[in-house]
Amino acid sequence: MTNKVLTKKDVQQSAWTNVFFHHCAQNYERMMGLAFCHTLSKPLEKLYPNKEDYKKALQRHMNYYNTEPTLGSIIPGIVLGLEEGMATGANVTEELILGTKTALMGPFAGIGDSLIGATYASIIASIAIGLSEGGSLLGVLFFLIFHAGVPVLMKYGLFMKGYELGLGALDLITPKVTEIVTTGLGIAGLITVGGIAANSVNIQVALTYTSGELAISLQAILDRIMPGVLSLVLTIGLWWLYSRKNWSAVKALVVLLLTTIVCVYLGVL
Amino acid sequence: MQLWQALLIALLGYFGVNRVPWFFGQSGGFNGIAQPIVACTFIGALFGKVSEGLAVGVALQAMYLGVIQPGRALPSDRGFATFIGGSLAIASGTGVEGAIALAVPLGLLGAALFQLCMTFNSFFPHLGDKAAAEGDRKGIVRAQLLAQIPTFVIYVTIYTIANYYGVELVQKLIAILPAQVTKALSIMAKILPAVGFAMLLKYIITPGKEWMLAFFVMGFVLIKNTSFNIVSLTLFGIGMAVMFVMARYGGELGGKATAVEGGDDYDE
Repeated sequence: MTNKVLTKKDVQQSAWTNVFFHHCAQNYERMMGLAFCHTLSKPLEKLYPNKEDYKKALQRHMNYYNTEPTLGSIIPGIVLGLEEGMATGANVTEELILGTKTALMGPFAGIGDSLIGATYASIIASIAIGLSEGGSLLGVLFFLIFHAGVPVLMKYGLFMKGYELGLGALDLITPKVTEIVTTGLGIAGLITVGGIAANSVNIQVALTYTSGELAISLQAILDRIMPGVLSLVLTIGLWWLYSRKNWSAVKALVVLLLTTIVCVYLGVL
Repeated sequence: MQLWQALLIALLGYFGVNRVPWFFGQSGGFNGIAQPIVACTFIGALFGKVSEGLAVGVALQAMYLGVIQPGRALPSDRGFATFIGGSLAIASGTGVEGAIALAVPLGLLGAALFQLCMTFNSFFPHLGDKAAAEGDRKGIVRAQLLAQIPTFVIYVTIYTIANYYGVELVQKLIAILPAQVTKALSIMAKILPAVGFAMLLKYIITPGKEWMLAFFVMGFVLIKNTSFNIVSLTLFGIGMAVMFVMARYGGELGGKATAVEGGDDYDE
C-alpha cells in the first residue's frame, strides 16, 4: 500500500469542505469544477510541497466536473486517495486520476439523480406531507432530519469511504458493476417514481354529456377504463416529447398552461 | 408587510438558492430550511400564523414533488414559488389558493433567473484558473466566495422588493383574476408534477432501454388501483429489482440463478 502523508484530520477537513461548498459558484461553463478544486486544495498543498507540482495539481482539478452531489461525494474522496498515491510514488499517473474522475461522474450523476434526487427525496417528502397534512409540525421535523440531515452524513461518509478505497475503488467500480447497479436501482426507482406520480398528478375531466334526464360524465367512463389513465398518458406523452421531439420542460409547461386555460374556458377541465 | 419581515424572508430565500454554502451547503439550505414545508412554516411564524404557513407549505411541497432538477433542466423554480408566492399568500391571507395560483407564473420567472445566474457565474472559474496557475490556494477559496456576491445581491433584492410591495398587489390580483384563470392555475398545480416526472424518466431511461418504462407504469397502476402506499411500493420495487438483476446477471454475480443465455445483447 501507499505511504500515508495526510492525517485523518486533513481528510475530514476536506470532506467537510465538500459538504459545504460543492455547489458554490456552480455555473454553466464548468458546473462544479471550481468547487472540486476548492475541496482538494488544502490536502493537495500538503501532498505537493514543491510549488510547481502544487500548481499543476490545482490546475488539473479546475476542469469541468458535474455529478449528483450526495452519492457523488465518493468521487473527490477517491481522487484524493489517488493523488496521495501519486505524490508518494505509487503507480498512479495524472491520466489515471483524470480518467477516473471523468469516468465516475457520469454514472454517479445517473444513479444519484434517480436514487437520491427523485426516489429518496420524494419518499421523504411524501411521508412528511402525510404527517403534516392535519396541521402537525411533526412532518417538518421529520423532513429536516431525513431530507437535509441524513444526506449531510451520507456526503461526509462517502467522501471518507472513497478516500479509504483510493486505488481499490477502480477494481470495485467496473463498467459491468456500474451497469448492473444502474439497471437494478433504475428499476426500483422507476416503480417508486411511478407510484409517486400516481399520487401527485391528477387530471379530472369536468365534461358531462346531458340529454334530457340522462347525464353521462366523461370522467366516470375514463375511470372505468383505468383510474388515472389520463395522468399516465400525459406523463408518458411528455416523456416522448422530451426524448423524441427534444421539447424542453419550459416549453412543455407553457403549452400545458395555455391548453389548461383553454380547456377550463370550454368547460372540459 | 413590515420591512424587517420582508428582509428576513429574503434572507431565508437566499439560503434557499442551490449554490449557497453557509448552512451545510446544498443539503441544509436548498434541500433543508428552504423547502416549502419548512420555509412556509417559518414565514407563517413571522406573521403569527404558523398553521396557515404550514398548510401553504404542505400544498407547495406536494406541488413540487417530483419537480427535481436532473441535469440542468429546471421546469419551475421552487424558490420563487416559496419566497414570493408562498410568503405573499400567507401575509395577504389568500392562503393555499393564492399560493398555488402564484406558484406557476412565478416558477417560470424564477427558472429564467436561474439560467441567467448560471451563465453569469461562468466568470468565477476564470478567477480560479488564475489562482491555480499561481498555486494560490486562498485565491481559489476567494473565487468561490466572491461568486456568492451576485447571488446574494440579486436574490435578496428581488425577494425584499416583491414581498414588501407585493401584498396589496396580490390581494387585488386574486380579486380581479377571472375565475377561470384561477381555476386553470389550480388545475395546473396537479399537472405540473407530470412535467417533472417526465423529465426524470428521460434521465433514468437511457436510449435503448425504453423497455424500462414498463416499471414506471407498474408503480403507477399499483398505487392507483390497490391500497399500496409509497413505503410498501418501495419495498416491492426493491424486490422486483433483485428479481431482474438475479435473472439477468445472476451467473456473473456468482449467484445460483441461471443466467439467461444470449440475454446479454438484449438491449443493444
